[in-house]
This record gives sequence, structure tokens and C-alpha cells, in this order.
Amino acid sequence: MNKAAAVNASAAAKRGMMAELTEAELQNMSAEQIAELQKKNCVFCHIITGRIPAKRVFEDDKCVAVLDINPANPGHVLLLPREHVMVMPQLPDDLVRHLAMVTKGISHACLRAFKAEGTSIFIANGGIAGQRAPHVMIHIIPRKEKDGVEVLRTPHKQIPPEQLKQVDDALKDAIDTAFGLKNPESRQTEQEVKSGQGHGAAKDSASDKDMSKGSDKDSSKKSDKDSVVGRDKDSGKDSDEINTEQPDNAEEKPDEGKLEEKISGSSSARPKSRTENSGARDSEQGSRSQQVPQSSGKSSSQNALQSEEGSPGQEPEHEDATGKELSDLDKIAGLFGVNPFGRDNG
Amino acid sequence: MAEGCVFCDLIRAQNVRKLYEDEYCVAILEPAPAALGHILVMPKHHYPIFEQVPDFIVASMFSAMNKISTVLFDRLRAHGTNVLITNGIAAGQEAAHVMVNLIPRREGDGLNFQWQPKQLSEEEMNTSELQLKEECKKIGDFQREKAQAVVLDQKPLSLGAISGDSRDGKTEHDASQNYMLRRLRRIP
Repeated sequence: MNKAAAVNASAAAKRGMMAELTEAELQNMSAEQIAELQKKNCVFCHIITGRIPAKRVFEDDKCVAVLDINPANPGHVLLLPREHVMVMPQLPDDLVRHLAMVTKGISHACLRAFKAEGTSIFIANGGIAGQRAPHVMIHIIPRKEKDGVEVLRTPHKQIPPEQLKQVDDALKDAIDTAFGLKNPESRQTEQEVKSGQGHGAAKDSASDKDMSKGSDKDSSKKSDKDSVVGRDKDSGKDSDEINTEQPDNAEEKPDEGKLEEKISGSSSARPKSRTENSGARDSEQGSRSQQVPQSSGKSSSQNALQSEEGSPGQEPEHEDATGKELSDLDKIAGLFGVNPFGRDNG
Repeated sequence: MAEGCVFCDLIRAQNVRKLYEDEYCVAILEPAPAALGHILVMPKHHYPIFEQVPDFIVASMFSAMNKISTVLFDRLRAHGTNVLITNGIAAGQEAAHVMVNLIPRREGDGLNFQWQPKQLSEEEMNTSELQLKEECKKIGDFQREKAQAVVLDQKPLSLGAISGDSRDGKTEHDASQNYMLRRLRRIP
């Protein structure tokens, strides 16, 4: 039943896009078939499979890079994952990591191939952000001074610090939750445990309500000046909703709450240990950096040993190659010249 | 950590709240944003331009950025997001510290990243394809964080440990080559 309903709903959602198919046909399709259909209609999937010719510059088992036919600059590359995905947040994490590394590689290739002075790397998620095709792509655009692509820079608005802080607060919680560093319900359950009874959750939710209402009022005071603030107020309301919803769920379905608590407990334990590890590693590194004189002495003697043993062929070559690459990059980095680390506010 | 870099100072500062932090990268709210909720994801260490950042740090920056962007959709009710890396002064980079701009988009926010397409002749396209294809052959064999750790941390010990260490393909490869070379040396 549920499955059929879901299929109907998704079919209804796609109806607008596929005009050439009748409604009855679409309603009989499964979700997989619809995904297939979308893939069939995607120009970039055709480019990836090779049915539409394109100028490929790089490909591996996970992604393909082609030249844009309407380039912002000569050498404008589109990096496409082979998987048909609409927006970046839908991509699996390992693919995002792979794409990131390939992006860096292509960006570097652009610098070398076109003697570019820089690159712009641009991703648009959603039509409102300027996305035109329903396939994730990363634009890599080689840049030179005054090349007419000046729109690709970040404008700066002056925003009152209180408002920034509000957004910061709202995001910090959500991001911690998204990364599994913190679960809003785990806080409650801790309190429950402390009080020994179920009252803790109710109290907590009440205080949450109060707090979020307070912030809402604050934002409404400030909202008179700026229209942007109005939107922020909306987001404040959203957070209010979220805060009030979750405790209710916890009360109604205690079993589920416990399960989630377990999950959150395990997931929150992991990052902790990780940070501890990193701390330990930091301290190790610190001690290592203190020992530098000794170890460097050792390693130099080892290098000497190695060269005596007769493996001089590889390492020096490798160093030369990286050294050359870096000097090219240093030229671009060195352009920051006069005011190297300052930010021009002009 | 470079002296005098505004963003290195920001990363080290105690009173600046980090939205996200791990071993390699940090995310903070841009103090002068393009839109409300504009987030910067930066490597913890100082690299002026993108190509200087090691591969595994680039990967973890993108991974963090992508997870954070889901939060922008959920929490700030963004209708879309833009990711922009301005790399090099010619591309409009303002500070000598690599950063990924993550900008939430809403209807009527007054932002525009739409460039004017250029018309290139078939010949120009072909030459740029050839040039780029040649350079792109070097892509692959990415620096993995484990490999990096082994190279940095175990170098003083590596001679003894190399043969038994199967975690790192590269060192093993080097070791076998060394062995072969040594054998070759001995033959005459």
C-alpha cells in the first residue's frame, strides 16, 4: 500500500516533466523505472555514455570531464559523476571525495595547459542557484586578469553582528547533529537519567520553547529595518517548530527514542574518541617537532645510507618534479604580493 | 600557520565559533557574507592557492562542505546553494588562504553568478581539448592521508618496517624497486 502510494506521488511529481507519456503509463511505473526514464532524458548522461559526442578531457570509473560547449573561457571544463544525481547533497560521500580530488587535478591541469593565472571552481545546486541541467556538475574555469568572467566572485554585505550570531547559533546545532557530533535528544535523555524520571524531557522542551521564543522576539525587533531579517525570523520559527516537535515524538514513542539514543550514543562516542586521538596526535607532533634536531640528523644520515646503497634513481627525480610544480604554483600564490595576507575591502 | 594571515588567526582564535572542525579543515560563518548563512570551509593549515592543498585535505573539505550544505537546505530553508572557489587573484581571490564559499540561495536574493558564454571556433575548442587532455593524464594516484602519515611519521623507522608494512602500497612498491635495484647492483 505505502509503496504504491509513494510511486503514485512520485509519478505525480514527474508528470510535469514528461509530457510525451500518458498519465496512466506513468502511474504504472515503479520508482526505479522513473529514475531510468529521467536518466534517459538527461543530456549529460548521454554525454557520459558517449551517445552525444563531446570533447572529453578526462575520465575514470567514477567521473567524466568534458569541455563546456558554451564556455565562460577557453578550457572551461565540466566534471560529471557517472551516476545520475540531481544535486550535490544527494551524492555519496566517497564520490564527493573522489570528485574533489579530480577537481583539484583538473584545476591544476588548467593552470599548466593554458598558462592561466587562476581558476574558478563553481557548483550550482538548484535552479535558483543557476543550475540548468538535472545532473550534478562541477565547473572548472581557467581565469586570467580581465577576462570578462568577473561575476564569479563573492560579494560582501554588511550584516549586524547580532543577526550573524543568530544564524551561527541555529547552524551550529544543526551541523553538530548532521555530523553525528550531537543529537538533540541525547541531551534530554541524559537529563532524564539524572532526574531518574521522565519529567526531565518535558521540562527541557518547555525551556527550549521559551528560549526559541525569546530569540524569535529579538529577531522581530530587529526585523523592522531590513527585509533580509524577515527571512531570518522565518528560520527562527522553523527552529521553534523543530524544537517543539522532537520532544513530543520522544514522549509518544519511548521505544524509538531509546533506539535513537543508542544510535546517537554510539555515533557521538565515535567523534569524541576521534578528537582525543587527534589531540594525542597533535601532542605527538608537538613532541616530534621538539625532537626535530635529533631526527633530522638521523634521517640525513639515513639518506646518506640510502644513496650509498644505490637507490638514488627515484627520490631525487620525484623531488624535482614536485619542486617544479610548486614553483609554478608559487608564482600564482606570490601574486598576493604587496598586501599578501590582508583582505582588500574595496 | 603563516604569520599575518587573517584566516589563520581566525582559525586559531578561541573566541571565534567554528561551525565545524576536524583534523584538516574548519568551517566558519563568513563575517561579511554574500547571503545570510554564507559559510567558509578552509584547511586548517595555510595554503595560498587550491592546488597546493594536499588531495586528502581537499577531499575532506568537500565532504564537510557537502554535509553542511544539507543543513542549509534543512535549517535555513535555502532553495539552492552555490559553491565557489576563487583560486588566484585573477579569479578574484581576496585572501591568501584557500577557502570554499558555500552560499545559500533564495528567490530574489540579488545574487548572480551567471557568466556570459563565449563563442569559440571549432579549431579553438580542439586545441584546448588537446592541450588539456595531455595535462589531465597526470591525474590519478591521489595522495591518501594514510600514505601521507606513513611517509611523514615513519620515515626514520622505514628501513626496517618497509617489508612488513602492507598498509601503504606506495612504500611497498618503492621497497621492491629498491630491492630490485640492489640486486641489479650486485650482479656485476
